[in-house]
Amino acid sequence: MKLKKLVPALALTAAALTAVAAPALAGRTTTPSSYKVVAWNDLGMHCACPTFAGFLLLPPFNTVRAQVLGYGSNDPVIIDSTNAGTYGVTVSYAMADNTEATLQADPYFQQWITYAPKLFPGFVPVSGGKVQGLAGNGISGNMTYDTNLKDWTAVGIPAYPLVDANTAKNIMTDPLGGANRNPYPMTNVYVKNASGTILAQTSTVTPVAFGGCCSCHLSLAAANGYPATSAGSFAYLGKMHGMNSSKIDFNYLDPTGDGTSGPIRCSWCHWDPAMGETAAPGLANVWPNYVIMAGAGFTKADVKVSQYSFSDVLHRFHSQSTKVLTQYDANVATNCYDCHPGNNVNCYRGSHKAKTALWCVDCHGNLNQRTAAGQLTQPWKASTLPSCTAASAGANPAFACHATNTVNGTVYPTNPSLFGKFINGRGHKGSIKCQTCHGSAHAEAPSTMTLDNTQLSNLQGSTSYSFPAGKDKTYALGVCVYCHPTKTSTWGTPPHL
Amino acid sequence: MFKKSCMFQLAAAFALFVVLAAPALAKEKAKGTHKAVAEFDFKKTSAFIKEMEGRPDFPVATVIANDYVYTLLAMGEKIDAGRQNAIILATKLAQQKNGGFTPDKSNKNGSILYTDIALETLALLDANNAIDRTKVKTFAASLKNADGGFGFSPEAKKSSLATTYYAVHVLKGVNGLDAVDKAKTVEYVKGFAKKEGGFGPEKGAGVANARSTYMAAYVLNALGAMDEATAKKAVQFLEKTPYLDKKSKERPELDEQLYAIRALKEVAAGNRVDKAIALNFMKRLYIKVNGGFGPLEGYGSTPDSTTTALRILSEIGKAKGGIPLVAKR
Repeated sequence: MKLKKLVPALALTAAALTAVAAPALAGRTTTPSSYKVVAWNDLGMHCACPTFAGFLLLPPFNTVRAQVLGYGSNDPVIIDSTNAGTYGVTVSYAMADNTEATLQADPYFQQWITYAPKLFPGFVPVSGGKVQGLAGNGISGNMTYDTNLKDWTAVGIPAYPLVDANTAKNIMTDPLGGANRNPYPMTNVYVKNASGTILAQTSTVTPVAFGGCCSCHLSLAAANGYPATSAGSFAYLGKMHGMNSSKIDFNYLDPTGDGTSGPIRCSWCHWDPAMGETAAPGLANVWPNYVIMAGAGFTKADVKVSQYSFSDVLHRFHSQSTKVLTQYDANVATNCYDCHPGNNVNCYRGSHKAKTALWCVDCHGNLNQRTAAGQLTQPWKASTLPSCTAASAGANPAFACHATNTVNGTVYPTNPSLFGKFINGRGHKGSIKCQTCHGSAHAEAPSTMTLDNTQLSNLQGSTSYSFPAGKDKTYALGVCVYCHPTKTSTWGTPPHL
Repeated sequence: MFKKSCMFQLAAAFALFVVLAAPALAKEKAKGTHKAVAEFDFKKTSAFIKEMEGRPDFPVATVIANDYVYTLLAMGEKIDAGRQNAIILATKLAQQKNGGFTPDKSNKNGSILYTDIALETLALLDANNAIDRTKVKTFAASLKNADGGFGFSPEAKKSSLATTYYAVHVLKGVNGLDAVDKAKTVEYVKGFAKKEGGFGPEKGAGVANARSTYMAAYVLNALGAMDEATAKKAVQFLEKTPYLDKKSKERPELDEQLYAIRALKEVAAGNRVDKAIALNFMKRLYIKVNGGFGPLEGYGSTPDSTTTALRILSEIGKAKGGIPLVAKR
């Protein structure tokens, strides 16, 4: 897939995840006298790899979204691409912790800069001295209005876990033995007028972490006679891949024909919506002159596009491999953190985590259930994601999900599609994104991590606001007066319709 | 159909009993005593493991049930009768017609791994006879391959050192070692020996590790085939690991720490276990916030890694449950 085709798709099949009607609050013409902005990360956590020389699982790619409200009368105006032009405002972002200097000096990120052009032909990771992500966004810039998802978006910003000067933030262990890192860099989001004056601003967590892959794969490499390094791990993975039905040991693939092996992007053959793909492009379409190196046990006829998604092969292999089960983790089907960021990072950290013994598998299903239900054949599709009212197809939740029309005991008129899929759903006049009030998926307010709660604590931090027993400013946005000047300053549950 | 219906009714009735009896059971549970080890707050560890009691699907799965039982017993706690029965019933239901056990109720393919785990859980609860042990022997024996090794399941027949270990472990537990072709199995297992001593998970290239060394040593001992040279070389290997060598640059791993201790004991070198290294490592893995233990330094805790930590503490006498021998059967 060419980069130009790839980029529009990088919003993670956004259109497929959109469910509800157009915003009812948009389109008013009174010029706002003030603005408010709320921002969030789209998924609550992104993974990125520490090395890129062998093959790529996931690139630095983080997406920040925001909703902007304009004020001048009782009900706020949703600021969209149309009225933003009329009012002369722009919405922009700037990463607060990742800087040009630190990113370009980071040895792991330098690997990304070196190998990204081979992994994504046509992509220039540093342009004019500035780092840019796969969708063209750098560590700062303007956000664009997503007319499908009805929010301001900066897709694919190159956020990366950093070695923070504030060592207390470096909670993530480097599996390769380097310094601990901060997996929760912050991003500031601004609303500015035409002269650049800041009219409103907020700050949101931009989570990005290394997965847990290395913690097993380095040992696996050593156990099989390879160095316990990332290079050794890649080499043995290639060999293992060559032992499956594909016969392709990707150590023998030289994509660019420069005489060296790799790097390989898994999604060339195994389509991966996390890469913005709806189909695998196939190596020959990406690098027509690729070379199979001497000694390979396969030919170009074997290098085919797989029928299986990357998510499918990766999850299914690990849950069904007797080697994984007997030598590494008998409970891998449930232990998501073996691979996903649990390395002191705690990807799953929201209110669900705090209130109950709800586990990842209650919403998504364990790996055996996900495989049996065919979830992984269509990863990232709305149909495979959990909603507030139901777990993913095939999952067997131990707990009841939220009723369709009851929130904290208050019954609202039912609209079965209202809650949609949390990450892109909207409610409250059909205008407000779920994540605007509730925070990022996996970090729903109140989060167990203080940093996640910073934004809501600021938004609802006025001493004139009051909260009922058991609630406080870290809870979902619920002080009516924050948005509606004439309404109550007591926190409550707003209408979700 | 009738049998299935009856079983469902039985399970439903039992679930109802558990729910109704919960308040009384909670009181009984509160009587449990924590024989705290100074370094660790076992009250917190207990609360962490007991989080799963709040799940309507308790005990969730074969591994989770084992985590719960082992950890609480290792800390000297008593498990109330209601939950014991719930675990025994769930374990019984995990046994398939062919005698093997599954990882959870959604899975119908029994394997030697989950059979081994289920048997340990039952042994810990003194409920060995709650299941059909003859069928277990038949199941394990059916996994025997011509190469002397055993497979994982009827669907995954290929032998490995790990699956052979689990099969021998299970067969020993059900007095079924007569089903093993001892000469062939010993030869198969010895094929995993490494030049530098110890055993690795793969034949040929690759290095030894503590897990495989323990597994091989266990099988050789169980089959009466452990020899002095093999034992000596195993110790030579283990001496170079971070579990005995304080100067080792290798990053220690929780599972490997456990198997290093067990391997030393299998090769009659239990006196070589460095309890101080093990205890210090456990201190570094301990998560004060919730009382759990992580699998690696800097990682958060999980029930599985917490259970493994308690196994290690049991092995070095720092957990007062006194169950390592039962656990090893």
